Amino acid sequence: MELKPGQNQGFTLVEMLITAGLFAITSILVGGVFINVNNLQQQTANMEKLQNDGRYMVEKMGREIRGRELDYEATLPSAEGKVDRLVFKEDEAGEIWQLAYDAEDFSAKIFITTVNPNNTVSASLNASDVGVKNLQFIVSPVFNPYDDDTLNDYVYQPEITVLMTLYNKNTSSRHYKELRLQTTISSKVYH
Amino acid sequence: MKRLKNNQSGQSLIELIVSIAVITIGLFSVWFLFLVNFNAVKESEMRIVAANLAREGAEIVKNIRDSNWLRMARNLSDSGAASGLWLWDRGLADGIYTIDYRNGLLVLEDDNQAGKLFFDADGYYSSSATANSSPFSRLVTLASICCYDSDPEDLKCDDTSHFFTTNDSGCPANTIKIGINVNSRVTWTYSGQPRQLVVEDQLFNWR
Repeated sequence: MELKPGQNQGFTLVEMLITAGLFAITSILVGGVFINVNNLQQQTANMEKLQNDGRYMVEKMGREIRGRELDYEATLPSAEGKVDRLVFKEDEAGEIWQLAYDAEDFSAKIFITTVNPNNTVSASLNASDVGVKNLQFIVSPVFNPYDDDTLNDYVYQPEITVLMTLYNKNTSSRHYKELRLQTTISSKVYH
Repeated sequence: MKRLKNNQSGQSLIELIVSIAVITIGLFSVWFLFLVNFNAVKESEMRIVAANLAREGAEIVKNIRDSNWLRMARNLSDSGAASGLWLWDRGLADGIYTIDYRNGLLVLEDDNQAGKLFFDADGYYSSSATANSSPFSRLVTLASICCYDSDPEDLKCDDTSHFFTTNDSGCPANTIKIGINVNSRVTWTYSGQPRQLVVEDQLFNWR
């Protein structure tokens, strides 16, 4: 295995430079594509989270708004009908449900109160890595249409417009996404 | 080792270029796949928003019918009707309408805006024009569901052989209006391509 003279030429400087240059170009290419793909994939995953939660929240709120009768005295809609908490009347199971915006931990919450025994439990509708920036309800009409004292101008079937903006918590600003959803649900409680 | 001695010609430049090209194509096809995925998710985001807006359109029309029921139950009188009685389909004549969450009223589409939706001061999608336009448009089309039977002399639509037609300009003679076909269509464009989503519902005078 002895090296003979004349055989240990190795590479010339030019060959080395070309090799190093090509290696650098390929590395930059690979690195660039990797960073871009990673970034895009994070954004895609964040959007999917928001969509999943958004769909579920609208469906769940819609179901409760449709099937429960609004308690006008406890909800107290403003002159434009805006509220951030809906209180429903006691149902046949003896439970009082509320849908409310919790501005402290940026979530939409369901509160269930039982009268006997007196107890309240709450649950968040959104996942822990999804925040709710703004949850508003608009109640129409603003007075209880089932009340005989209510003026004829306010005799409408109750309907509630829901508007909310969902966003990603615990994510870098490059991957941050928002999703704004709006829908209107008409009550299915008939008198 | 002896045989290798004359075999050290290495790769030619052509081979090198081809191999780099293959690597590049491979990398960018991966990148492209992720891009397609990203766009698909973004598009499904638009569809979720549009589905809720389309449902809102159909829901407001249903709310108008339910409000009519409530007024009928209260024996309110309608000065606009010939009989003076409140009817279940009051305010739900056939036509193409824009609709707004705030007043729950149908407004005939006549300003050539095709029901364009704007963001109002509170961030809601609204049909009244503001400086802040949204990518969506919504139009609600109402059509009459008419029923007729084999006995036009005594039209009750109760014969065993009765038929339904949907008509977009009221019910023709010898038929009775039994329902309303509600078509709520939301349209938008995504990267230059038109997109639409339709929610359809049929409303009748029974619960």
